[in-house]
Amino acid sequence: MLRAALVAASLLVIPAAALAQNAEVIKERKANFKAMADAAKPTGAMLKGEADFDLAAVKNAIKVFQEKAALQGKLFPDDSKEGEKTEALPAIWENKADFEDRFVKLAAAAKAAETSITDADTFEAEWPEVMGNCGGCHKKYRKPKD
Amino acid sequence: MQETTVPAARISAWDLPTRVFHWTLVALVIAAWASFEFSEELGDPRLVWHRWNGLAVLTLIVWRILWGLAGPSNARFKSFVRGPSAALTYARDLYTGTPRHFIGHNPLGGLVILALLGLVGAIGTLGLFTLEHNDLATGPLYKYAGEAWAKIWTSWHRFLFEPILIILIVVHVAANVLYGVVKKEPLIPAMITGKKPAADYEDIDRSAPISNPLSRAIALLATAAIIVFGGILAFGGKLP
Repeated sequence: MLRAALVAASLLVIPAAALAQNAEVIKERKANFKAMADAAKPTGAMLKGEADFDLAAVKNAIKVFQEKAALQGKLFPDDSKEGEKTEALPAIWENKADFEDRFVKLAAAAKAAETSITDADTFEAEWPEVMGNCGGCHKKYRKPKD
Repeated sequence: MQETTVPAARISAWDLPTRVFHWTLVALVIAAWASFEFSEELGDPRLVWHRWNGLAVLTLIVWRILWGLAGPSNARFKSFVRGPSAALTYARDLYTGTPRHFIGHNPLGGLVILALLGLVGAIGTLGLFTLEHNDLATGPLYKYAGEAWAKIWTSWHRFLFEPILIILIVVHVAANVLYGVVKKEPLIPAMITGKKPAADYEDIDRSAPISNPLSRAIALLATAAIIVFGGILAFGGKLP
């Protein structure tokens, strides 16, 4: 009876402990995504025609994308599938190679944009190619927003 | 064997423009889904194809509304849109096996057609006010919604397609297949050939063709395009 109770208790406690262990990694990757979203925000306003072209804001987004994308691939260990209101879908761990490759592609696209985007016209033409990496990945690997 | 040697008389049910409309809409709804779902594979992050596709769908729906007012009788709203009580009576007759035949839409089917057209029209109209979640694309009239509302319209744009429209399409297709299999009424071939076998149709008196359906359909298509594209431009919207 006591043993059964211990087993039952450990079944309850172990997953909770596992979640707690990985709370940090989930928080870290969420902070990185947030930093990228914040950096992308002014560029979105430019694409929508709500703000004038601002090369400094684009350069900043390029820098943040490269920095954060380099970190993200490592922040999805097998024991970080749940918790901390993560929006990560199980598909990430089923297609780990593709998923990690997407951050490499995002960083590479941002790197290429460093030289290709010089003015409003090149921004219009090239920036969606960089940002397309975000949307494509969200569609496959992030829980849809309600 | 003998009856197959005598060709059954076939009478006209659906005019050519209505049939072309139907299958074009099928193709465009599938293309609308594909152009969003596979935008990455298509190398189209700004959803240019999806946006043109939506404007084409809206033009078709406006055309169908005009056709429902000025087209041949079987396509007219006046002849196929009946109240809920007529639809319920028809549903009861269907359930009890009382045979009733219509050359156009039956009272229940007519409501489904109205719902399908309304739903596709609503999805297309909402699309004018949407915002792609990474700010890469907006509907042409997005600025009238503003970001907060655009997000709401965007989720409705999605919700009315999946699951609502998909459910209604499944109902529509299933009903048409069942009519063919169970009631032996070839409704699907009728939407391809335009003909139904001669029978005791209760709405046959209302069924009449119009003169020059093709030129009228083309004139109405031009009108529909002017309404959709002219309307967007008049409100200061940008085409994709």
